[in-house]
Amino acid sequence: MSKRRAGQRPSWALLVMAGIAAVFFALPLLGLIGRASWSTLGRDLTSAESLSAFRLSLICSVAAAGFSIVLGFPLAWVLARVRFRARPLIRGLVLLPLVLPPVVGGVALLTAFSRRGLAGSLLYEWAGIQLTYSTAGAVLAETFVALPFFVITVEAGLRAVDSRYEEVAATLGASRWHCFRHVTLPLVAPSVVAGGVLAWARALGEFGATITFAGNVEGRTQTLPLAVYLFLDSRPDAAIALSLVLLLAALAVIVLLRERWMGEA
Amino acid sequence: MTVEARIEVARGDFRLAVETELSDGEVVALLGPNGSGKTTFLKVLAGLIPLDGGMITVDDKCLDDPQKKQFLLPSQRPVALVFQDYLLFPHMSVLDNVAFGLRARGVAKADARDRANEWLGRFDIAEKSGARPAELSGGQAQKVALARALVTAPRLLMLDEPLSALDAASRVSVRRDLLRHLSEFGGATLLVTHDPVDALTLATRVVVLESGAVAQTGTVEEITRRPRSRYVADLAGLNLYRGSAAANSIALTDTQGEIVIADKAEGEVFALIHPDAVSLYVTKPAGSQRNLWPGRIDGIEALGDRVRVHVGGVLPLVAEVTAAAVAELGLHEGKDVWAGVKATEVSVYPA
Repeated sequence: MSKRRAGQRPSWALLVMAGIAAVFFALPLLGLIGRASWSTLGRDLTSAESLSAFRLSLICSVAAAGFSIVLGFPLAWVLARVRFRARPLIRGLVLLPLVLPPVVGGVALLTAFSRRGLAGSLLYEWAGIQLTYSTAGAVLAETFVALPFFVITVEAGLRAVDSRYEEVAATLGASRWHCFRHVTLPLVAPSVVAGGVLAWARALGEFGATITFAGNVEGRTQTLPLAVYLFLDSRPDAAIALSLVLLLAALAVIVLLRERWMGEA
Repeated sequence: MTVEARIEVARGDFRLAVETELSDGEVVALLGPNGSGKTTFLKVLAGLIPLDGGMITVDDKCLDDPQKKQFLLPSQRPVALVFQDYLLFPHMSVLDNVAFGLRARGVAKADARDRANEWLGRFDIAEKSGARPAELSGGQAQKVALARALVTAPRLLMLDEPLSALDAASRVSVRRDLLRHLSEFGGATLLVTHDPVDALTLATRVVVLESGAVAQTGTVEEITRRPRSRYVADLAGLNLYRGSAAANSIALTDTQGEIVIADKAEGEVFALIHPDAVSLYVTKPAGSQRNLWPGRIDGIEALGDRVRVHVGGVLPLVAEVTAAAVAELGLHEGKDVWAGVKATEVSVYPA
């Protein structure tokens, strides 16, 4: 039982196709590393524009991940534990930003939250807040695309937790809050961490919805991906340097979550 | 009376309607086939399923009464429930598992741990207090689950098949320990089981549940002496038939057969035949035997030095014979035999 089966001997055609696919993934990464101008890397990364993009990306992505957790957890809980008729509909709505082209997401956000949008107009009239072309708008756009990653991860995590643990806790005298704090949350914590990291990574890389909804304003909405796009024509070395940083962040996410996906089954 | 319950619950097509009372120190075994409503019964008492009708009181305090619109949450009931697979919290140490109920009631951490430790000592597993539940054997996990339930001093303790998750080897010793702890427990105990041995050794009274209703209740001795359902008869290993009696004969309800009885009886009755009383013959015997049925052996199982022979035919029955008899008669599966029972060996009671 413990010995691995010798396995099937794959056909040559299959191996070649698999090899092509692997190279297809590896080549762009190698290109990025090969084309990087290492001597000017320090200067490219510490230019005023780059630093402002760093700062903004960090703030926006962490805020978006935070909103995803705060808004996403109750939603994931309801989807996992409460049976109601609109549940399939709500779940579909949550999944939509995953498959929707981000530009379309940006346009949709405009119709809802711009100064003349459904909710945005009220916000502007009552509070004088304008979300478009603001950092808050960039956070909003990033949250829109990041939230589904958190919700589906945590919903699956909650479903995997035997709800009878909560029943036991209740019969032992635990209030709902005590039970949530000491039983449900610790059991689902790995999913919350994974969902949070995924949401953060998605927010960090968000481009389409951000540029559509919040524009490309340096220091306010110009996050790393937007800066990369802008630099590509004028300062390709800087674009590649910033791309390397994003690549590093992606690698960090994979290392962080490796137990979850890359464990040897 | 510690616990008084009149339970009416409807879930889809299933209806549970049970009335029961439990007093302090009493251990009641809830027996019944799968789907008879045993687990639902426990969950209703624990407050995990609300009543649709009836009422539940513990020490004259109302836990659930839909008519008066009263309902106590599970966390507010003096009731503890130990699940079949124990469900120890996997992210906590054994000690914190046992201390959980006290912490939930606001007892300070140090105090809760002291009291939890004391309970672990009482269950002889103090040395496991720092262990994770995954490191425990089945018997140890059961003790921890029991300690976790008892630490909150419940008035009603409910155990859902407490021994079914254990292997046969540890079951005997765990059952013995369980018996000791239950006798020390001051409140009422309700335990669900499939195993008549559990009911016999642990319980003072048995309630048999079938399709959501009480089929029979009494001591183990009482219900096995006069079983009123196929399920109880099978548990006790007895042959039970139902039919309508007229004078010295019973016309069976489920089959074509007829059973001759010694004393006159009338109306709907149960006929009980102990497997001991069934004689098997390879050729049709001549003689005075009044009940004689042809059949074919469709199963043989050894039970200590006795052998249970299942005979199919007009009147399916089980005969218990010695191993020597099996060899002597050359009994095997598929063999045609005659089964005989004396009329005086059939006990008859009203259905």
